[in-house]
Amino acid sequence: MHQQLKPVRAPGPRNLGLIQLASYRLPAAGFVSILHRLSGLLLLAGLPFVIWCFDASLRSADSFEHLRSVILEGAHGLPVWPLKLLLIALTWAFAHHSIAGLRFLWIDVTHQTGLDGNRWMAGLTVSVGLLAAGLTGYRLFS
Amino acid sequence: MSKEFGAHRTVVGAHYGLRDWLWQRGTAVAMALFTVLVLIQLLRPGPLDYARWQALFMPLWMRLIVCTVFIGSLVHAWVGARDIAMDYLRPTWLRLLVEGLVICWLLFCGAWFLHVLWRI
Repeated sequence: MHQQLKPVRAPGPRNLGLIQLASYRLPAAGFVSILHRLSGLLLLAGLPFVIWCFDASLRSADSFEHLRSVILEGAHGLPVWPLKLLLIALTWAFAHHSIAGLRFLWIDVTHQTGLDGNRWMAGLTVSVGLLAAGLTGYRLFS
Repeated sequence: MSKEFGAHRTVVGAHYGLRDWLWQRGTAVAMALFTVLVLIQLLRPGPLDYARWQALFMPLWMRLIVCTVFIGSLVHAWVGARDIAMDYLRPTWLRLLVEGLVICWLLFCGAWFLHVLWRI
């Protein structure tokens, strides 16, 4: 009689279902990483808006002032808060993506993989992004 | 013996993706330096009015830098978007569709930005 061997599950990464995903506690560095992807997509989607602003801000002095008034007061009687929220979101995305990107470059260069330093850097990254968004919001809404 | 081409070529192993990775990091460094350059200019004392804003982007050297960095950002965005698509979009047709749309989006933005930058 030979022994019946139980199939051994290969250790390593596994896929999470959507329901598991909701309760899965991501480590700080993983949180920053997923936000890095999200902010990158946001910047990609917001590119035409940025180009439009760049165009309006440099076309002429009148156009510059017009852009300023559109951002601060709105145009055509439309509510201005969605535009301000978009600006705050893009500022957050730019700040977070930049700092998180520099962090990845730093990790590439130093081969740092430990948890302690990473947790600290991850906290700093999220803070800088939120600070940039807060400053923009303060500037736009005050 | 490993083959480097044809139907039986080795599709896994070292260096696959190194080129994309290098492009992504190279353009990232360029954008980071450019951001510092612009921030230094903008954080100088005094109100930021049209004259100052326009003077910043008027010189030819500045426009060449802006142009270079913007094209770099498009390459950077392509590598990143493709990475995300490869990770999350499972059916091949969907992934190819999204990647095609991203390529069109980036080329459209690039063409528009070049027009805006060199017309001013």
